[in-house]
Amino acid sequence: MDPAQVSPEEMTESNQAANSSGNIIIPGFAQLTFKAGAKEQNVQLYNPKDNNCYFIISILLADNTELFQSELLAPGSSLTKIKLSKTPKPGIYDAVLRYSCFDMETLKGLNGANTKFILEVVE
Amino acid sequence: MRKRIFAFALAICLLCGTIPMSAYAASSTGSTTVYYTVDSSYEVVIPSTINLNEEDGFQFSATSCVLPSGKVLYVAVDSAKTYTDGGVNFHLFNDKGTEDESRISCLLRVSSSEEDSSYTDVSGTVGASQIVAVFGDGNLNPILRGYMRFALSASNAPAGTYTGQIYFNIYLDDASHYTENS
Repeated sequence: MDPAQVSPEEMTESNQAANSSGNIIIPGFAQLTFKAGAKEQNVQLYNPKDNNCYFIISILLADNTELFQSELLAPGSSLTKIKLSKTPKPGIYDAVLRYSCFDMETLKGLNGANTKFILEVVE
Repeated sequence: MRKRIFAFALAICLLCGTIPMSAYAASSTGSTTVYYTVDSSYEVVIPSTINLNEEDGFQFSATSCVLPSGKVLYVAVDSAKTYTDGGVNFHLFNDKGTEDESRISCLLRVSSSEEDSSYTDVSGTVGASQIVAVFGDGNLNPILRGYMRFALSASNAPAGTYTGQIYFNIYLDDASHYTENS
């Protein structure tokens, strides 16, 4: 897996900020909306620039059906278009954004989080 | 006769003049709806690693917290992914998965702040609430709970570095659903 591209300046800045904190910032949303029948979706998923870890972001339905899993996402980078592995039918679903976090030097797993949200799939 | 004709013509003119005025007055009551949607989103700070040789806990916080009306944001331990053997106990491991594997028990506890000496056990008790922090709309510091601390039982443990991972569930729910015993 290749880390998402970020500029060296951006990487250095974010490392310095997060090294002093030892924290992970986890973004969450109340609701995301997808278009029915489309594998490519517009989103705004990101790894905050002040983090000092890689993210792998997954989107799952409440029954653990995985709709998407990202590559390693470096601090300061974002995903604006994603390609789903499955497209749910129109409706409203309970869903989860899973943040798996990894040390930037050793790639060892760190503490992680699931953020629950409402996924609305519209025609 | 001329006066009557003049008066009639004047009356017609005045009448015609009032019609467009009335029409103009009617159209001036139109309205425009101005709207702007504020999406609900938040950023919660969780610990990446905690070195229990140097610190005994972690203070949860948020860098932003815009919530829907009537909702609060809960941060809870994901017990299924965090606790050992599908139970309620949290362990730190050394040489996990090898013949030399050893582990030590570590209780997770929560209080309102680092200074608050009273605490509630999160792990180690069947049915215990897994909530470690609750945030209200616009609050960057927890409105309930918020400081997670650790209690090790490391007696007779072989020397080495022991590690464990904690996973959190972060979710919105009605503010009225929360009680200290939930």
